[in-house]
Amino acid sequence: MAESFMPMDALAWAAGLLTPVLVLMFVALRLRRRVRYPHALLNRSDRTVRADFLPRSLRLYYDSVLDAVAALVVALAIAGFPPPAASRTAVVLDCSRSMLSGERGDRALDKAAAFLFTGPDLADAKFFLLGYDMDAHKPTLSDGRRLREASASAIELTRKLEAERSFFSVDYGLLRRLKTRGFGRVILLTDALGPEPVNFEVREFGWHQDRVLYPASLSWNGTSTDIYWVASGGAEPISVSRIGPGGELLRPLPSQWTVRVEADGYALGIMEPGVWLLSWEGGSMPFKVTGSLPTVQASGSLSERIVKTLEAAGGAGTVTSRQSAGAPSFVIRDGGGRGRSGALSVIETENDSLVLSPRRSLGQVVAIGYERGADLALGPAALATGDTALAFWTARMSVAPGPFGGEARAANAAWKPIGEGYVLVSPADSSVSARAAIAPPPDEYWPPAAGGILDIGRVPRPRLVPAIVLAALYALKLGLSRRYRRRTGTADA
Amino acid sequence: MTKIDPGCAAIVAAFRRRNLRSRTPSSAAARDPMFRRRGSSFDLKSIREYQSFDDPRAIDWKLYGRTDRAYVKEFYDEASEGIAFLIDGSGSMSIPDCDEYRSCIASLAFILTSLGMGVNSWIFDRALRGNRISTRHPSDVRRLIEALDGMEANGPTDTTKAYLALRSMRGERRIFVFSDFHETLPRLAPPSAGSLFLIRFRVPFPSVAPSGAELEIEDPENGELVVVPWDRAEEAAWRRTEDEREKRLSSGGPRAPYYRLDPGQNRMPVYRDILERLYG
Repeated sequence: MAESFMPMDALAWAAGLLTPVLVLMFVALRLRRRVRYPHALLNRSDRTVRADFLPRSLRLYYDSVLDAVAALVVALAIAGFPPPAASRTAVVLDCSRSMLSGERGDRALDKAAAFLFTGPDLADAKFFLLGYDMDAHKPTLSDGRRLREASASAIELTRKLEAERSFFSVDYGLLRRLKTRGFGRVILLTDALGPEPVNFEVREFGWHQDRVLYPASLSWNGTSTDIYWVASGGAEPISVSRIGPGGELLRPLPSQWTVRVEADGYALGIMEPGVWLLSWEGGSMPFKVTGSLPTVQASGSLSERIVKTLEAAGGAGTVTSRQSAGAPSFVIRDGGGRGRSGALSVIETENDSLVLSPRRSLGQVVAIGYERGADLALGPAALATGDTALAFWTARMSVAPGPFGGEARAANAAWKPIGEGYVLVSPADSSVSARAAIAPPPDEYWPPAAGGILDIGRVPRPRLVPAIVLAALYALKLGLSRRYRRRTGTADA
Repeated sequence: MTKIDPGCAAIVAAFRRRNLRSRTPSSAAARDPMFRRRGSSFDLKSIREYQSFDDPRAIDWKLYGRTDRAYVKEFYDEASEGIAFLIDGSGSMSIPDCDEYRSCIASLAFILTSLGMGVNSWIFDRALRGNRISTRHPSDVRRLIEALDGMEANGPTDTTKAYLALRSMRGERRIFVFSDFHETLPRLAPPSAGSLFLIRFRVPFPSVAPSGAELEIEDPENGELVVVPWDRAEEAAWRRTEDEREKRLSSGGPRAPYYRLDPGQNRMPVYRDILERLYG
């Protein structure tokens, strides 16, 4: 719908909405009969409440007239009248991790803060911060006027922002709230947005590629957890540390970890579960190692055959009875429904003329059938293909916890910024390691991909005025109805 | 065109015979002290021979000189002997059938004058309208009929005001009020030692209103329009109101009898009952 008032739209809507009113009026006129009769014989008390302030014809057809007026009001409202008062401006500062990339003074955050103090037409604009609430674990859009007013310069504002805010990740979708609140002009100060902005403005201050190591995948080889790190900007690992329950760094034994060079980065082998920290020149990244992969259990004859086959084929950790307490488990069951978390239901079928989803077969072509009551319907071709085991592998890996998160915040525990991420520390904890680690999402370290659009919508049209007018019209209808459509038969006093 | 009801002559004949055989009407009976006085009007009623109970001052001495016999002249009593008709001529009276309304009034006037009772009629709306229409003899009823035919039903009604005006101006002790009594029920007290006859011409609203329709109802007196959804519930409510109105109108007692005439209703029983009450 149009944001501005469109007279032709209003005419079209008015014509459409008035049609049923006119039809109803015509029907009412056809059905209405006029008789002459003393009103006092209908209701004596009404003689005292006669009102003649409306013209006679209007008194007769006020119902239809008010309906027509209501239709016009609705038509005008639909066509965008009254137009929204979109004169307010909001300036939003992106407080994501990528804003801190680069040398101090040359970072996007520094440039954005300077622009905020020197930019044209921004003196009356309201200042908001697009950031992340680490305690609530959700992105936020908060009022930043206090910080701005308390800062005499861009440098001071930057310093306060870094001290008080979590530069982690943002959700640009929250900008829609500003439109909802009536800000017609929204200016986002960021480093690089990627998608095309729609219904808001972007001031980009340039992307800086940081030197960083970022975990890309995790696997368990039976004795250690291998974490594959992607290197960007020529980052090289210089040390590996364990993070204690209070966030302190512990030096691990050389036998507890290994590192080797891979094609686009490094593979770090960790022998002990816990929260670890990989450091490179200029930064460090916490991560969590959970140890062994989820155990596999079988339920049903077909499932037991599958598990035995996987064990025989060397599926590390595929046990049916040695499940350790608390370790994540993965269940293969005969039938039993589709899409259950931590389980994969299988069933034999005659027809396996379909192909397994590439996501579950890692791109290999695997024949599969379809049965409503199971995740995998294995036919003759599927059972004869060794690549079918990939479906069980990917399903099992989906249960395995990643290097970040996975644990809700507990009592006496708090998120502590360590390196690029945050670690859930609990000083009173008797364990040897912190509880969990979380890192900014990978798109904070790589330039955003261009393409697509980011639409935050328009300022909603004011609905209050049409609502009040409609309410007044219908109150008037009710009042006039009580006045003119009086009930007969009131007893004479 | 206003016509006298066909059965009126029979009623008059019946009550004439009855008077001869039995007793005189109450208006002429000796027990009515008002009627024992001679009238003071110039309207000559009869000339008869002097009787022993007559007042010697009533002897017509001119006749005595010419005939050598004593005669007395009797005149109608201007104030007390006659009957007054108050005829509602307001706008609401255009609702009932005009011919029935006028015929009833004219027929009753014909009956009463045929039985020797003079009738003075007034048309009223908010007040008495125009001059008195005097009918002493059946032949005078034509004047009343002409007045009724020329009557235009318009204007608002104030029955109480018209009634009080009549009472202050005249002394008739038998007053007939012809109306639809649509206004707030008038508080009309019958004359002292007299009677007040309330004759209502009613048109039931359900007979003019199609059920299940939305009605524009125009008040014939002030032109006001209201819109009323007319359905069974409304009709039931109207009937309740009518019952209460009827109850109140008929609660005047024996000196204020009440008659309701609906369209097409046989009026003969009403005439008979009125005469029965007059003849007591």
